[in-house]
This record gives sequence, C-alpha cells and structure tokens, in this order.
Amino acid sequence: MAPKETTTNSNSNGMQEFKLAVIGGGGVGKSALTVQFIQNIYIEEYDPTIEDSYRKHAKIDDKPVFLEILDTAGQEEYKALRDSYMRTADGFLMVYSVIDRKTFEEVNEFYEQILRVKDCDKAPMVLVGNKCDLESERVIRIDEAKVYSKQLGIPMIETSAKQRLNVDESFALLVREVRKSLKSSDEDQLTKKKKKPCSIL
Amino acid sequence: MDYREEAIAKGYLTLNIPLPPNLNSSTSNFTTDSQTLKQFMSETNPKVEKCKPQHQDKLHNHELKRVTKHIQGQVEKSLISQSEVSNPLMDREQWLARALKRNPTALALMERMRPLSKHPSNCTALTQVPSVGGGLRASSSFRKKASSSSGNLTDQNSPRISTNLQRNGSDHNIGGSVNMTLLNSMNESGSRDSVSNLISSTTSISGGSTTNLLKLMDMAGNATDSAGVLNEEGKKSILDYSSILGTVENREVLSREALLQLIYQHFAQRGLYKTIQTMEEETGIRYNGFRSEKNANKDTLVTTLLSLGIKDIEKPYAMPQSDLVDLEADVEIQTSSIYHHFDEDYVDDMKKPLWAEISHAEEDAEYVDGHDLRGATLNKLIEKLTSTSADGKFIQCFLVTYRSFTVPEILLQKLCQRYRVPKSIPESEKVQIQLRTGVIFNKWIEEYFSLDWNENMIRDFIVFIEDFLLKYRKLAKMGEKLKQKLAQKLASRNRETALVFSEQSQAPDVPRNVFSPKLSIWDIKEEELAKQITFMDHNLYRNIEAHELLNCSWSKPKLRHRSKHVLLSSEFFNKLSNWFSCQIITEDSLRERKAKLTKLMKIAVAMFRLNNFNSLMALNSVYSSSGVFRLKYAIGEIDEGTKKDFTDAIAVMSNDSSSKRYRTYIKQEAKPPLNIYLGIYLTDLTMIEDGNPDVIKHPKTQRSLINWKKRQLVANTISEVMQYKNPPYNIQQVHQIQELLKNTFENHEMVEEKKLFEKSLITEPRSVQRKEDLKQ
Repeated sequence: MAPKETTTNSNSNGMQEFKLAVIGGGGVGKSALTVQFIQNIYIEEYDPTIEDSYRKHAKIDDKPVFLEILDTAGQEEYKALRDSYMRTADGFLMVYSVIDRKTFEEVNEFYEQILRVKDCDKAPMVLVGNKCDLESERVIRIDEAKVYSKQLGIPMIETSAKQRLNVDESFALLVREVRKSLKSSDEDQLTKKKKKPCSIL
Repeated sequence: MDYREEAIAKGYLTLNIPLPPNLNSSTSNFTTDSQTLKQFMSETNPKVEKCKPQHQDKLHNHELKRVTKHIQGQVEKSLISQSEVSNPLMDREQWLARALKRNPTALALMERMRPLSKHPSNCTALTQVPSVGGGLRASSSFRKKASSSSGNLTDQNSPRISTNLQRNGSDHNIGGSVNMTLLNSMNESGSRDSVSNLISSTTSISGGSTTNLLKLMDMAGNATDSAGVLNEEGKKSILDYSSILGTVENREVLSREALLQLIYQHFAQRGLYKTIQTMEEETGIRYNGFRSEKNANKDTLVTTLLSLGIKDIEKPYAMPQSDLVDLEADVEIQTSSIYHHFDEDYVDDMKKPLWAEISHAEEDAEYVDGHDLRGATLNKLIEKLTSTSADGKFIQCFLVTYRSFTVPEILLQKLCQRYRVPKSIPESEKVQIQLRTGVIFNKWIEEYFSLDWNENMIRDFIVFIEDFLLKYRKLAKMGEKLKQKLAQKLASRNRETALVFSEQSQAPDVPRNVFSPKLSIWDIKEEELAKQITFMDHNLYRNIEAHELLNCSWSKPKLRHRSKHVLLSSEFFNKLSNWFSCQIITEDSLRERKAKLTKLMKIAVAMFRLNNFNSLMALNSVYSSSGVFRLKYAIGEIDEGTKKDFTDAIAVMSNDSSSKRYRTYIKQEAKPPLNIYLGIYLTDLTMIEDGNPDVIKHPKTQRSLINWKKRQLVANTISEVMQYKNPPYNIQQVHQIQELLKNTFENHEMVEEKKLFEKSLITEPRSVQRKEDLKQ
C-alpha cells in the first residue's frame, strides 16, 4: 500500500489526537500564534528543536485532546511542499494579518489548495485575522472577513498573538470543526457505508 | 594581425596581463620590441583613420581625459602649493605617510603599479618617447628634483631610508612617466581602439597619481636636506611608510582581475554595456556587478578610490591630533545613525564606555540562572568574550549572532577599547586580557573577513595597530600578526579553493546514449541520476554562508538579498519537484506513467541511501502533490516492493514531534557526507526568532539585557547547518548529465499546482471506474 494518507485520530489511551496546520503567507505572525498557544505561561525560552515544542494537551468542551501543531513558518519559499504538509493535517488555521490586504487575499489560494489536497469540497478550517492589536493600521475590517468566511462556510475569529488575545479560542474553534467533521463522516459511514469520508462524484 | 588585435594585445601588455590564447601566436611580433612600441604609441596608424570612431569610443576618451585631468590637477596643485611653503613640509609629509596608511585601497593600487613599472618594454620606451603635454612637464621636473634629493639623502642619512627612497622614487617615476606619456600620445592621436586605450589610460591614472604621491615624499626629503636638519619625526614616518610597503610588497593586493572589475564598473556607471561585453570577451573575465541602466551615482569607483588617496592632500592639516590613541582614553562611541534598528534604552546601554561599566561591576549587568547565562549587557558580553573563561562555544556563538544585537563597527571599537586596560588592573591580568582580545580579533578576521570588514574598519584597525599595538613592546608581535592577517585576507579576496579528495571517486554509470543530443533524464539509471542531482544540490547548499541564516532574512522582502544562496537552494527544490510532477501528470499512457512513478520512487530510495535528505524531500513532494497523489490507477500498478522501499525512505522525513525521526537519524545513523533538508532549519530559526524576545529584563532591576539564551539557540542551529558542509560528496560529475540537468531545471517554467491538478483530472478522470478504460 502507498504511504498512509492521514494520521490516526486517537492514541493508545483512546484520547483524541489531532494534527492542526497553521497556514498563511509570510509575516502574518503564524509562528507567534503557535508559540503562544504551546507556551501557556510566559517562559523566556522557546526551543523548537525539542520533541514537545509543537505539542499540547488541551481540554476542549470538557473533552481532553492531544494536539500536534504543524507550522512551517520560514519555509514559505518551498511552495512544492505545501501539498504534502496539508495532506498530513486534520484541520487548518488559515491566518492572515488584518494590517496587510495581500495576506487576506492569499487565503483563497490556500483554501482551494486544501480542498484539492483533501480531494473533497469541505475540510475543517478556521479563518484567523491576526494582529488585531494594531487597530490604527487595520485594513481588513472584521465585517469584510465575516462575509468572506460565511461565503466559505467556515468560522472566523480575530486574534492578537502579541497580546495573547483569542489564541486558545482560535485553536478550540478548530478542534470543534475537526470533531464535527469526524462525527459527520462517522454518520456517513454508518448510513451510506462509504469508505472515504469525502469523495465527490 | 589586424590593427585592432594588435592594439588589444598592446593593452594587455601595458596592463601586464597574460595574453588570451587566441592572441598568443602573434606575441613575438611586438612584445619587447621597443621600436614597434614607439611606432605604435607615437605614430598614427593609417588603418585607424579609415575606421569610423563610434560614439561610445568618443565618450570613453572624453571621460578618461576628464578623470585623468581632474586627478592630475589635484596632485599637481598640491605639489606646486607645497613647493612654495617650506617649513610645514615635514608635517605634511608625515601626514601623507599616515594618510596612505589609512587608505588600504590607495596602498593596494600603489602596490599594483609596482610590477608594471618594472616592465622592460616600458623602461626602454621611456628613453625613446618624447615628453608631451603640460602635466608631464611638471612631473618630469619633479623627477629630477626627486632623484637629486635621494642622492643627497644617501650621503647624509642612514642607508635604509635612502635605499628605500631611491628605489621607490626611481621605479615609480619611470612607470608613471611612461604611462603618462602613453596616455598623452594616445589622446593626441585621437580615437584609437577603445579597449586598449582605456586599459592603458586607466593604468596611467593610477600610475600617475601614485608617482606623484611618492614624489611628495621625495620632496619632503629634499626639503629636509636643504634645511640641513633631518627632523626625527619625519624620519620615522618615512620609515613607517616603507615598512608598510614592505609588508605588502610582492603581494598582489589588487589583482588584475580586481583592476578589470574597476574598469568594468566605471563603464557600467556610464551605461556603456557594449564595451563591457567586448572587454569580457577579450579578457575572459566576467563583470560581476550590476548591469543597471539607471545609476544616479556620478562618481566611478576608479575615481573614488583614487581621489580618496589624493583628497587628503587638499587639507593636510585637517586630521585632528587627538586620534593618536591615548592609553587611558575610554570614550563614548558616537555613531548614532547605525543604531536605528535597536530599542532606545538598549542603545543607551550599548553606548556606555566599556571600562567604566566593567570596573564598576554592576550587579545587574548580567543575569545568571544557576550556571546558565541568560542575559547580559553588551559590555559584559565583550568582557566575557575576552576573558580566559570564554570557551570555543561562547566565542562561536558571539561571532555568529552578534549582528543581531550590535554592528561590526561597534564591536571593533569595543575590542580596541578592551586593549586599553586601566592601570588599576594587575599586570598579569592585563596581559591575559590583551592576549585574549588578540585571539578574538584573529578569529574574527579569519572567519568573517568578507562579511564584516569594510574599508573603513580595515583602515581604522590598521591605524589602531600602528598607533597603539606596535608602540608597545609586548603587543608589537601581536600587532604585526594581525596586520599580516589583514593583508593576507585582502590579497585572497574572491579567491576560491578547489576541492581535493584523497580517494578516487567511483566511476559513474553513464547511459549508452550519453553523448546523444536526445539524452533524456529518464534514460539515466536511478542511482547515477540520484548521484548527479546530489552533486548539484549539495553544491548549492555548500554555498550558503552562516550570515545568510541570520535575522530570518530569506523570508523578509527587504533582507532577501542577504540570503541569496538559501533562496537558490529552495528554487532548485521547487523546480526539481515541479518538473517531475509535470512529467508524470502529462504522461497519457498508463504504462509510461507507472514506469515514471516507479523510477521516481527508486530515485528517492537512492537519495535516501546517499543521505541526500533535501532531494528526498523534494521527490516526496512530487508524490504527495495533489495532482500526482490522486493517480490511483498508475500508483496501483507499481510493485509492492518498490512502494515499501519508498515509504520506508520517506518515513524519516516525517514532521511528527518536531521532525524527531529526522533529527535522530542524521545524528545517530547517517554517516556523512550528507545533504541536510534545509527547510527544517529555516523553520527552527523562524520559531526561535519569533518565540524568544531579543531583550530580557533583569529580574531585580528590570534593566534591559541582551537575551543570550536566544543567541545560543540561533548559533546552535546555524552551526548545525554549517557543520554538514564537510565532508563534501565524492561524486564524479558527468558533464553531459550535469548540463542536461542544469538546462532542464533552469529552463523549466513552473506550472501552477492548480493547473497540474486540472491536467491530472484529464489524465485519470474521476469518472473512470476501471483501469482498462484508461489509455494504456
């Protein structure tokens, strides 16, 4: 058989285990979002080379979950790799910067690419507008982003990694989306006896 | 030989450049034959008159005349004004010697002129070519003066000074005069061949000015002579000057290539790109600068460099005496403009005088947690850097990362300050500190010369060595060593060293049609193809320098130019991946598609065996791209063994647990040589950069300190990337295959993922239910 397509969604203890990808153009502050989420309390040192530097246990809606964050910040130039990174993830935080319109417009490209890689018309995603602390430089109004996210049919949230605002909330939103998709694909499997959670005719 | 060819050959000879192979055969016709040279220089060649001068050539001549005149004018003016004043001559001469010391470029140019002036053909020409032009008259009269002065000196003073003067004086006079004569005769004869004209005239400019500078010195000697007293200081400065000449003597500080680059640059700034092209073809040396049409800068580099050496003559008294280094001086550094990217309160701390802070032993200058240094002020870090407790790791970390908390200019000043140990420190400790500081300087120059050491810094440091280190018996040896190191580094700029292997590399396995113009990448066996790609990819990686990885510059639009080789490596990665994806997706036949996919997997396995993780990652990205991954019928045809080998190979690249498998594998199992996957380190550096503050607060006093822990993390990552540059792969490159790969990837136009996916939907439509329905 070819290499495994997706990770298992639960570990040996039966705890849910998700791989969440943080996606976005260069300079949107996705790495800061990841670091803020992983580091609960303020620690002066963050070493990304150690094993646990992208992992976190969390309790979301009273249900424990083990999260592995996939953040390829710094590898934006490696465009050929995007597909393979996206393939391994269960859910996606699509991050743009509220002070940079270009990064907002790039979201659509990422959205389409995710659907191509997953070869289906829906995948767990959350739209995240970062740097909302820089109110004076803002160019993307929250209404505009909301209209857009409604169009895509995904939730949206504004964050500030710098002020640690809505960081945990954004990841929690995504976990809920992943759980929702699992549930619906389970139902699909039960009712329609389909093998793959999403395939289009 | 046609006229043009002859003229070019003359140009080469004048510049003392070996003739290009296509001109070699005709060398005997004119080399040292002074008669021919004379004819060439003074007579008008009938062929030239027929040849219509191009607009460009005219422009060159005009430019060159202007520049030459400007420089000559300056020198002559100062010479004349000087001959009128007699008393302050001593100061001026002394000052000139020092000005020269301060300007390594002028010195380099002077050194460059040395072998030229000894050229036999030039010497003979001197006696035969009559003097022409106003500038030359002046210079020949000075020549007489100079020779008489050196003669007098021989009688009265120590032999060393006199021989030096005589040698320098006469040699350079001959060279200079000849060059001026050449220039003058050329200017008069009108538009000759532009290249030869330019080459020789450029030489004349520099030759002329050097000669005049030297004459200045001779005159000074003369003045002393006539006054009947030899000022002690004057004597010393002459000695000073000759000692510098001695240290760099016979070393070609400014190589011929560098000189040519200067000429190119001159042309580039005038927008004369055609001429550059012609010269490139003729000299075989490529112009390595920019070819931009819009260059606002009016001053050419040649002019700038030369006038730098001369400029000082115009205001001989402008140099303040205070820059003679005072032993106890410990001043605040005043270069506010270079601080702009640092926080304000932190900059204030950075500017504090070194010894004032160290001597006070402020408690909050550092923050130590257990045995770990977490943060410190800049002065504290300098103190640690130059103390006996600093281990190799600390020094390495400092030198790799210091550009993130200060600038090279400040480091230079701080280290110089460090030498000036206050009297309150015991002698034994003082010796230790100075010794360690020398060690740091040595390492800094050795490893970061081309990155950090600009002309100004070199000049400042040479002044420091001359005025401080060499003045103290105990430090003089170290000073000499450092000066030699600088000269050596200056001389070897741009020189590359070839790789040498002790073992013979394995003979390559070339396909039978390797010489065929139809040779395709798919014809080459997997192992050999993997090797040849590895050779290319590894060389791209080996070009990456440590500083390209600082400050995440590869991902910042404004700093991208600093990370050229990082970007070249990722570009190759993308092209390799995209080319293979295109090849597989656009293959209509199911059988061929399967064959290509099988080959791809086998190449990937071969990459894994070669420890080439970068290319392995690129090939994996082909397989997992949305367009290829969905080709289930073709993938289904591949035999299970190949698939398993491939899956096993790419498993090591899994990004689970911060790429734990990869990190352990390269440290514990893979035997070098290996080609690391660069992307992982780029992410590491980005996360370190964004996940750690630059400045931390001292827990008690809240004073801002440089976050040393962060620098250690950065330095560790960078040194890991650098570490695998050696050993290189011992792979014998096959020229035909290398060319094929280069052309294929360079000329490959990237196809968007989206387009590839759409094509994939045509190759294997979603509606197809059985493989039999596809084109076989």
